[in-house]
Amino acid sequence: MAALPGLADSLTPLEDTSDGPKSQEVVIPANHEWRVESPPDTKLVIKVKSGIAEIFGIELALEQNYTFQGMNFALFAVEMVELQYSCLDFPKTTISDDTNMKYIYNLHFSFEKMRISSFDGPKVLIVGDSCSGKTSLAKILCSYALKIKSYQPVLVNLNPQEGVYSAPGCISATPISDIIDVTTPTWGQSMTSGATKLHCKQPIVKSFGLENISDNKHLYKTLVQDLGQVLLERLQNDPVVRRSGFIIDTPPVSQLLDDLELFKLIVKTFKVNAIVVCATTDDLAIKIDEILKTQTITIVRLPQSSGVVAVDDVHKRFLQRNAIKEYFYGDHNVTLSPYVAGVDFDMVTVWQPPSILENHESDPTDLLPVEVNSSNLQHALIAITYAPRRASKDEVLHSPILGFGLIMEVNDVRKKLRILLPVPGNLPDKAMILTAYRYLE
Amino acid sequence: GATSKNIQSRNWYLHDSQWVTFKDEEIVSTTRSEDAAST
Ligand SMILES: Nc1ncnc2c1ncn2[C@@H]1O[C@H](COP(=O)(O)OP(=O)(O)OP(=O)(O)O)[C@@H](O)[C@H]1O
Ligand SMILES: [Mg+2]
Repeated sequence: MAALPGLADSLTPLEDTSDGPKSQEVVIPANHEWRVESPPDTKLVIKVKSGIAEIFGIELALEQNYTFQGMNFALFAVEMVELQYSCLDFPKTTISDDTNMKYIYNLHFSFEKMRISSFDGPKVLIVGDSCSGKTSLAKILCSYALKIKSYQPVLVNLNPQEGVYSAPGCISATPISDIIDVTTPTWGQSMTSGATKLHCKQPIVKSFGLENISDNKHLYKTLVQDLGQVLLERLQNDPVVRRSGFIIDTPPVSQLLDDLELFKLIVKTFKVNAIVVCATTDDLAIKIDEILKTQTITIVRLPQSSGVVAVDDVHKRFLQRNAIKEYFYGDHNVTLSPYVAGVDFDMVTVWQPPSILENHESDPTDLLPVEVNSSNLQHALIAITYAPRRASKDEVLHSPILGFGLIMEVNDVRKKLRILLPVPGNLPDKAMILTAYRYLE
Repeated sequence: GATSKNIQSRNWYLHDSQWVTFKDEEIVSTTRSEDAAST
């Protein structure tokens, strides 16, 4: 099967480049972090020669290559670390002892106490401004919980702009029962058809489709409630997951707090019992305390790390494209073979959530039919639901998601389209939901 | 490593009703089995 032009490019291993990168060495003193800030196209390979090094709370193996592409991260030296790295470009690297890791460790320890003293683990909500380290903290807290083998913390991603174990445009919950892949921004892979080198994860996904929560708050709230309900049911069936608890990552707090109902709804739906505020001052924590003052929820502020990078939109786009690519084609650990299916126009039914910003009149929960043609669908990422193709739009709205498809080619004359599917076989005879995400070179 | 030549692709996500009763122990990974073999 022919790959989309350029789609598989970045899967080429670094070693293949002709004028080979020079290897450099660095020593990181204990309790310091080595920070890397790298532009999207930069590939970096690191190898720990000695010492205990952690990235996002995951300890790295000695003498093993880890390849990163366009990722910012900090490598924390628990003990002095000797590191080798090679890179064709010049990523910005710095060493700093100004880290918030000890606060994060204390946080983890207090959650650990909850796990030990109750059948119900912590239900943690992380909030903070854009680029305040929320997602990094969520990763670290999950990694730390994983260190105690019998835990399976659930990572809940409520930020539709990020793809965590899935494509962007959705919200999701994923129990994490084995190592997080620190080298990929998607945290690793969702389930595949065979055994893979790195442990796969089984997420549950609700497709939002739009980019910003504000595009359709009502729909977002509906999906948050649907997701929360499924997750709490899972907890009832699974004592290990229940005891491990969950960590909720969120979009920038400005998007949550301009509608207090939404914020309160998240707290209530997930029965949140601890809130961690990523911020440089106490203001936000005080504000949240006032909003929730009648409730007994622990609110703590985590001092923001000075290492956090203000990622720009270009980089965010790169991460979103990367997440889509990984969903279909895998990453440098696992190469996946997606499948292209050809279908007639009259075999597909596509719905679209209305964007309230664009269309104030429309009913927010009323899915709109999408006419099948190239201008609407070319290169679009679509969510394939479990709802039969002719199901009512209300059924489609609340339907579980089978997965995603990518429309590769639309022929308006022959009334046929080609769609990239993650799983071999025919296009499932199901209703589909258009997302705002496009993938093309 | 000894990666199999089988063509591998992603699975569809589970239905909500399957997911609520899914147990992560059912997931196979080669690191897992290696771990198990070495202990
Ligand atoms: N200590 C650190 N050293 C270097 N880079 C870091 C550090 N902490 C976080 N980063 C990087 O900074 C960027 C922003 O962090 P992160 O994604 O955790 O913030 P966020 O609050 O989730 O952002 P958003 O609001 O976009 O979701 C990421 O690229 C992350 O990898
Ligand atoms: Mg984030």
